[in-house]
Amino acid sequence: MNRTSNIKQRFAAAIERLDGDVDLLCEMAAITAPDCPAVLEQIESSLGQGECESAAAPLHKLKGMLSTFDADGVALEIQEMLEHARRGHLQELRQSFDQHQHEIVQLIDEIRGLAGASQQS
Amino acid sequence: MPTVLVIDDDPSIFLLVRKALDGVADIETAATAEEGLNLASKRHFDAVLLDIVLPDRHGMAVFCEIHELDRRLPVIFMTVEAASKTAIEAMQLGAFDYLAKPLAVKHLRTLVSRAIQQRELASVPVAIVADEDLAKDSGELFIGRSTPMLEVFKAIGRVSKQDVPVLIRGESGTGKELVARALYQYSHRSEGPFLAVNCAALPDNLLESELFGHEKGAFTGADSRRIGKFEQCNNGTLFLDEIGDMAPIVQAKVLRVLQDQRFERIGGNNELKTDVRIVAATNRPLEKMVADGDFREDLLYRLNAVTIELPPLRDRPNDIPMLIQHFLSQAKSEFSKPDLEGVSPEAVSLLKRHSWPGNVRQLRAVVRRCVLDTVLPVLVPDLLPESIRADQMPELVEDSDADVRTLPTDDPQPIANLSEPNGRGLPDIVDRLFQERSTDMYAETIAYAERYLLLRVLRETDGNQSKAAEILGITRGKLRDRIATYDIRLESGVRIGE
Repeated sequence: MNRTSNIKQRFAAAIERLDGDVDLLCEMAAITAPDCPAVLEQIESSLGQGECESAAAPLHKLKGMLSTFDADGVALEIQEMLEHARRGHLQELRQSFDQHQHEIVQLIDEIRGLAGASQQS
Repeated sequence: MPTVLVIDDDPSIFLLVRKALDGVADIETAATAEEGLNLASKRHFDAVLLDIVLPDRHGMAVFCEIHELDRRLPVIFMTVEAASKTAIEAMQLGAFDYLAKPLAVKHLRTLVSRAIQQRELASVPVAIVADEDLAKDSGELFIGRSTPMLEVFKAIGRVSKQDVPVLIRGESGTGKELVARALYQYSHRSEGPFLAVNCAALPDNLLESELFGHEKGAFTGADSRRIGKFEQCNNGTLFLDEIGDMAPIVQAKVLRVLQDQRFERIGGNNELKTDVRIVAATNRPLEKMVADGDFREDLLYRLNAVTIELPPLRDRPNDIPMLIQHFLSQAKSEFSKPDLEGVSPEAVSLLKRHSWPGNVRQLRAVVRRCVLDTVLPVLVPDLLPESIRADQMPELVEDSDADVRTLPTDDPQPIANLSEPNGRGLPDIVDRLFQERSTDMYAETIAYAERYLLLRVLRETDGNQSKAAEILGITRGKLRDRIATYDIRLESGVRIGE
C-alpha cells in the first residue's frame, strides 16, 4: 500500500470533511504541526506547576489544532481534560493527561508525517 | 466578489476557508479580536466567520461589537467546543449560524453562500416596515381594505345591533370567530357574556351536555348538576363554531332555543328560559347537507337569516401587505426583536403570490415563524417555507373559484394533493415538512392520514358509505364531506380523482 493510500485510510473522516482534498489536509498539517510541541509544553508546564486553570487555554488550542485530523477520539479526551481544568480538578486532569498523552503525541507525529507529505509533493 | 472576514487564532482554518470559498468569496483574516474588529470597522464585508474562543477576547463580545457596527452583517460562529450552552447563547445573540469544528468544506461553502445571499437581499430598503408602535396603537379588530372585506365590515355594522342570529361562512382560517366577536362587541349585549363552543371538537353527547347542561344522575358519570352554555350565556352571545358538525339531536334542541328561547337540561323536567343571541359559523356546505339529510332545513333557515361571507385570502391579495405588516409588528414586539426592520421586496412578492389555502391564520403563522427564525434585521425569501418560495401561481390570485387542487403539478404539492397514500410514507412526509419548515404541519399530516384511512375503509366496505361511516364512527354527512374534500371517486373501485 503506497503512502497516499495510507493517508486516505488513516484520515478518511478528515478527508471526507475536506471534500476529498488530501493536499489540503497535508497543507493544514504543515501549518499545524510546528505549533503542536509548544502547546503541549505549555500544558505540561501548567501541570508541573499545579496550575489547573492556566492549562485550559493551551488545552483548548490543542483540541482545535488536532480536531481536524482526529479520528480516534483524541479531541474528546482533550475535552475531558479541559473540563477538569476549568473545574480546578488537578488530580483528575493529571491522571487523564498521563493516560492519554501517548495518543496525543502519536497523533501529532502522524500530523507531522502528513506535513512531510505536503512538503515532498 | 463578496468578501468574508475570518477571525480565528488557528491559521490552518484560514487555509481551509480560503479553499472552501474559492470562487465564492475572497477572504480577509484576523488572528485576534482586536485585529478583526479593526478590519470590520474599516472595510465592507459580506459575512464574518468568528471563532468563539480568541486569545484576547471572547467571540460573543466581539460579535456584539460587530453587530453595533453593522446589524445586517451575518456572523457565523465557529467553535471546537460545540456545546448546547454556547450554541443557544450564540443564536440568542443573533448569530447567523453556529458551526462546530472540525469544519466540513461543503457545509461551510453552502452556509457562507447563503449568508452572503441573505446579506445582499437584506441590504436593499425594506418593502414593509416592522413598526412596533403599530402593534400597540392598532385598535382595529380586522386588517384589510379590500372590497370583499369592506362588505364584511359593513355587514357587521348593519346587523350587530339587531338581535338576530347570524351565520358566518368562510374557509378555515379566514377569521370567523373574529367576526363573531365583532358582532358581540358592537351589539347591545356587549356587557353580557360571550362564549364560544366548537361543535366539531366534542362528541355528540358531550356537546349536548356542554350546551344545555345536565341534571345529577342524568347519565353515568353525571355526579352533579352541570350548567350548560345556553344558561351561562343568558343576556349574552353564544358562538357555535363548526355548526355543520352538530349531531341531529343537538340540532333539534338548538332549533328550539332559536324559536322559543327555551330548553331543558339533559335528564331534567324543568323548562328553562334563556336570552341568548346565537352566532354560528361553518365552512361546510349546509345546503348540500340539508339535501343529503345531514342538517335540518328549518335550523338552516333560522340561522341564515343573516349570513356574512368571509372571503378567502386569495380573493383579497391587496390586503396581504397590510396583514404582513400587522403580524410583523405584533411579532416584533412579542418576540422582543427590536432590530427587526421589515420584509424585503422579494419576500413580499412571494408572500403576495401565494394562494394561502390556510388563509389569514396561515399567513400569520408564516410571518411569526420568520420573525422567530431570522437573525438579520430583514426577512428575506430564504426564511419562507419551501412551498411559498416555490410558488409560481399568480393566476390563482385572479381566479376566485380556484381550488388548491388546480396547483400546477411541478410545484411542491400539499400532501392532500399527492398521489394516493399507502400509509407508510408518513415518516418521510413529516421529515419533508420539517425540511420545508412547514407552518401547517398538523393539518398536512392529518390530511394524509385521514385520506389513507378513508380510502382503506371505503375499500373494505366496497364503497358502501353507510358501513364506512359506521366503522369510522362519523356521520354519513361528514364522510361525504371528506370524500368530496379529497376527491375520492367511488365509481369503479375507490380511488383518488385525477
